[in-house]
Amino acid sequence: MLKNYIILAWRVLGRKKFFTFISLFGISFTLGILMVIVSFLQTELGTDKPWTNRDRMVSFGTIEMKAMVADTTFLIDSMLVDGAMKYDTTKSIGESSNSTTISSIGGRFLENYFTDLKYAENYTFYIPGVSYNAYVNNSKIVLDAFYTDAHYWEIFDFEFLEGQGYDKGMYERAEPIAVITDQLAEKYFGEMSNIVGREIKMDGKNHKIIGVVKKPRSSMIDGDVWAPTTLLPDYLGPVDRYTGGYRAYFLANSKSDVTNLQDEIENKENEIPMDVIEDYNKLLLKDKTGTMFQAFSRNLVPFNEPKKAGRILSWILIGFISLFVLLPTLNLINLNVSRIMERSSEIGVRKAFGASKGNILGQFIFENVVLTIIGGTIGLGLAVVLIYFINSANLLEFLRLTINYKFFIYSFIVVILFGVLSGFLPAYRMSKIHIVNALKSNKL
Amino acid sequence: MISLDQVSKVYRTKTIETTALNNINLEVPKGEFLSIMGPSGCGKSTLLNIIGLLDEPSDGAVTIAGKQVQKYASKATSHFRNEKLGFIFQSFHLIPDLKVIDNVELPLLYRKHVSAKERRRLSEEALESVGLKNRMNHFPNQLSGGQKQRVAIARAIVGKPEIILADEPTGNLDSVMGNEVMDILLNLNKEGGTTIVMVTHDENMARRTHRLMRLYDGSQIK
Ligand SMILES: Nc1ncnc2c1ncn2[C@@H]1O[C@H](COP(=O)(O)OP(=O)(O)OP(=O)(O)O)[C@@H](O)[C@H]1O
Ligand SMILES: [Mg+2]
Repeated sequence: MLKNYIILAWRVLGRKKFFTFISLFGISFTLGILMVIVSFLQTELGTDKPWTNRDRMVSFGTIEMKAMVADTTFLIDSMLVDGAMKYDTTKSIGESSNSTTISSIGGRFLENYFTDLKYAENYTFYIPGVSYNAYVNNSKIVLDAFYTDAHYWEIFDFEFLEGQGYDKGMYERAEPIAVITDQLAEKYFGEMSNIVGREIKMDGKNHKIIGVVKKPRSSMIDGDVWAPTTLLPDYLGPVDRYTGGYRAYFLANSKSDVTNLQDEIENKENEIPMDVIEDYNKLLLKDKTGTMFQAFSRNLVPFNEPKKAGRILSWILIGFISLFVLLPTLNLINLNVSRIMERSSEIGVRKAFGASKGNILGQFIFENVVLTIIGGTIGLGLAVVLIYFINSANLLEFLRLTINYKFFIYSFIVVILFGVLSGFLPAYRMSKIHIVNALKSNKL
Repeated sequence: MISLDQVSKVYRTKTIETTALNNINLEVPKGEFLSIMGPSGCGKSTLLNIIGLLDEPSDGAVTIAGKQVQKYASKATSHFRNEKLGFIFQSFHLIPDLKVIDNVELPLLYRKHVSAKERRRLSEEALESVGLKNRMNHFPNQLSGGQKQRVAIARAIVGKPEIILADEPTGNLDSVMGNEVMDILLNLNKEGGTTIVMVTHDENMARRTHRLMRLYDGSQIK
């Protein structure tokens, strides 16, 4: 039976070459693009190293401060009462702000108020993206340096090719050390092995290399070199400032505590005293923290608040993917309807000779699944080629897209679902057709 | 073998009501070859479809092979049709995407417990009996009209049904090919004892059968 269906499916598809081509094109194109998108999201949002803890992480990168001034208004209503003018006055006191700042966070602010959160198991405060020029054989290379605490190496699970990160002791003693990527090692030293123990010059100072990590495949921690924050002069900043160059990552106690942790951080806006700060008197942390997805969303949609950005990106993605899947599905259903209609005589004969509704339904869905599997395979091939192209042309700079097996399997499930979905509706309609009518329609 | 008791068929649409069959009583004993004649639109196909359980009468009872039919659109009826009945149509209704042998095999696909090997053997046997075994790997569009109808006969007999229903099997064929087909049917009836009901427009064909039933405007002419 199955073999019979396969042979039939093959012949039908071969006979309707144009139909087959259109269908295959739709399916493979859709799937190919979808897979590139998913692969991109996977790279940016997966739990590959160093993002092993991604789903428990909360990022906190900006604060907002306002100067609020009392704002008094008088409302005077006049009216005529018994022929005489009367005045009714209302005085209202409100607040309005006359200046606002949104900035990345000060180190001291973080150290003072965010080291003992109830829902956070660990945290790291660091300064991302300080650029330095370095010279190798008279040619300039630009280094992206991250200054971090020692917790950084606990929160982020970097893949060390050599050595390790710095510990609390080294951090506190402000040892001139650094961790660099394999990519930088290659550029700077011309090789990638036996790097630990050598020195790299940044900001005029020599740093002893204690570890080499694999260059992370992600836009968020895209550095070349890491060194202890304590090496920077006055690294925590002045006492009377809450802003600075820091960013913080917290690790929630558990996945379910992530939202609690976000709330806990944001609720600090009411507890932190503002009288030490000169120009501002109100702190706003609402919508300033985010999960990794939300933080990632900020890179793609023009909203600063991570939660909002996350929501909007989710909707965009859902809408985009639905549309992307819906269009070829509708197209396929449409093509299937006419394709199956043409075969009503066949359906009549099969039913006359004893095929049940289920047999007919099964046959047509099966045919469609065969079609979509072929389309899906082409789509996978397309995705592989596209991803290869994107990677080799360096379209996404530091990003290296990969196709993983799990995703391969998921896509195939999607493909089969696709086939069943687009085959079911027309097949169901035709399976119900009355035998006599099915046999007649051919004669018309 | 076939028994119709006061069978009527009325087609109703919003505006008109067509009585395609009017109070038909019919007994066809086992082994009989019955032909049905009548002018176009008199209800011959409708009658044949009702006998073949392809269509439901508006009124009356249908008993086939000792079993009165209750529910038409059911799995049981599908199986019953598959086991007991074979159909031959005026316009052949072969599946163009399937080879001759696969077309013939079709009824056996919907029968339980027939192995692929057995299906193949039975199909070849059926093709042999209509003289087309050498064409089994052709596609229908590579055959003449008469050959197509012989393939359709092979398909109708491959499951060894007790009854064969043929709606103008020679209607699309010239007299030479028509006679070939008729010879096969006659032989099937004589040698195999298959009960056959055939609708035809050809008096000569009808004359070669056991009995002729005439229909006029949905009613039987005595
Ligand atoms: N689905 C239907 N709806 C309404 N009327 C129908 C339907 N099918 C058949 N009829 C009518 O029933 C009558 C009998 O039709 P039937 O097909 O049985 O005729 P027939 O004797 O086989 O004619 P022919 O020799 O042309 O094949 C006709 O008047 C036809 O118009
Ligand atoms: Mg007819």
